[in-house]
Amino acid sequence: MTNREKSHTKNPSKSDSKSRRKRRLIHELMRLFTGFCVLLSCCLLLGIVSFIVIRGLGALSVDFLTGVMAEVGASGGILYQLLGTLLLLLTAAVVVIPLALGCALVQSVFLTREAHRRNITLVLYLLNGVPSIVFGIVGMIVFVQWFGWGKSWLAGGILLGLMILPTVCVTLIERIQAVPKKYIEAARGLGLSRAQTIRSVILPQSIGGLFTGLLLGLARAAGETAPIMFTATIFSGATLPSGVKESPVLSLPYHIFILAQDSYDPATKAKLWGSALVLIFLVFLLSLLALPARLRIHEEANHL
Amino acid sequence: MSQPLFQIRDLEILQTTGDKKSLLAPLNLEIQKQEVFGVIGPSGAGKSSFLKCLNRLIDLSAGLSVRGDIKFEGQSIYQGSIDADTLRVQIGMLFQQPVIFPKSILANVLFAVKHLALAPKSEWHDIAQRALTQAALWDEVKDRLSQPAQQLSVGQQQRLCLARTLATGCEVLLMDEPTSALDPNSTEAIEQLILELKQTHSIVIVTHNINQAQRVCDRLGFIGLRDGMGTLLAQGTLRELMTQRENVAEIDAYLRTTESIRLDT
Repeated sequence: MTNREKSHTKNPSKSDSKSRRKRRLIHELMRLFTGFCVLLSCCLLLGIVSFIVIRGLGALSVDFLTGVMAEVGASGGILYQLLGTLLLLLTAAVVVIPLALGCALVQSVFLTREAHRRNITLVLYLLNGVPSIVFGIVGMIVFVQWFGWGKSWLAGGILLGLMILPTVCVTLIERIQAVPKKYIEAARGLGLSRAQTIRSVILPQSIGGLFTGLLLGLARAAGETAPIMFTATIFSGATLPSGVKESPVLSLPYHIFILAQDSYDPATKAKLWGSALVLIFLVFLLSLLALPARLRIHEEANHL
Repeated sequence: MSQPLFQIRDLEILQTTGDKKSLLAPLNLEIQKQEVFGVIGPSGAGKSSFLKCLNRLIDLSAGLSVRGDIKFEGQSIYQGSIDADTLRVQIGMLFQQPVIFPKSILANVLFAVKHLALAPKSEWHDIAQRALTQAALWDEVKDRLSQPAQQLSVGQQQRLCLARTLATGCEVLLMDEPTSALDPNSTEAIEQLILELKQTHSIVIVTHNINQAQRVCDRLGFIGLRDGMGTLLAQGTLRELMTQRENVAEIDAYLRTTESIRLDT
């Protein structure tokens, strides 16, 4: 109870103290409930992570990371699965950076009518809500069949890039809108055009948002199976692609997906948990990178 | 007779949203070259918006539109095909609060020179020195040009903003209450600068301080609120404005609320 509340209790009338008791009861109940929610989600996260670490740590070794899969996943390593996933993520990043920059600038700088801005935001949220399997099916129709690429790493990268576009774009938009209006007014007052103002004022102060959003988006994309299973990835028989057409890659999530179906075999099971651990580590790494990257870039923009 | 600097004809500011009312009643005014023209009046009467019309910075304000026209050195800036960005290079602006970019002192002075590519890189240092000297800041910052500009005091920051504007080589300066955020010493420094710059530049200054208007302005315009709209109610020297006091109730009311002033003969 704070001091202020105490001072009010000096001369309580009867009905006052009754309603106060009720309020305190509700307050305490709410505190218990919210505390329980926090505890539950932390326990769930910790539980899942420690479960995977305990099961997967045994399979982890240098050979596992640098070796090639053998015996349909029951032995060997996950080198090309890891490289395939990294290639897909890199492609997604290259695809999403210009798209996100363009969308964010149109939304927050070029459009002056509030209604038009809201429409773009709405489209971004709708895109964010599209189930990943739908991305996979659309990708299959467009890239695999219509373009005639067959399964290709490029199709998977593009799909993952489009899938994380809303995350990257919204983060960037928020940062652009946080740029103080006075800077923009001062730059325009000096005679800088809109494009020059974007380059000299808006982007230096908001580019950190692009990287934060990108890393968070990639952390999500790393584990996605649905968009790439029909379009970009196979279980075995691929190394690094040399072209676009008929050039699938191996990937961690699809590897885990297939191994999980054979998990009655103890050797396969061990590899499954090992792969899951590597994937989770990759996702954590990307999420963690987002923090210092954002802080550092922000600082650079401010003290140049 | 030489051409006026600004020839303002039926200038009106309208809200495009909401009740679509007019913020500034049709305004006619001529501002001459090489003079310091002051705009005074109560707050909320649209003095700042009027000032922003002169370099079309008002274009940035969403929900406002401008009717009528201004001729700048004989050239129409609203009805002609003039490029607003080029216009703003020629007509510099100083804001109420100094706006310092989060960069070094040097980068701030050269901001427009660099991004507008106004001069080759070899001339940048000379331009910076000249602009900072004009703004009476050179001696205070010449040893720490690469340090962050936020370390300067507010008064120094405002002079840095002035230097940044002067570095573009503009000949007209718009000032929107440039000293209202400053302490008396910094205010005096800025006023002194206005009197010096007057030899080479034309200045339009919005001020809420009638004493300041007396110290620096050659002529004044009084924008007051009438029927809810900003209206130019009188113009002339301060002395002429004072004589209008009996005829225009708004001027009388305004002068009553401001500090009493001493009119030197």
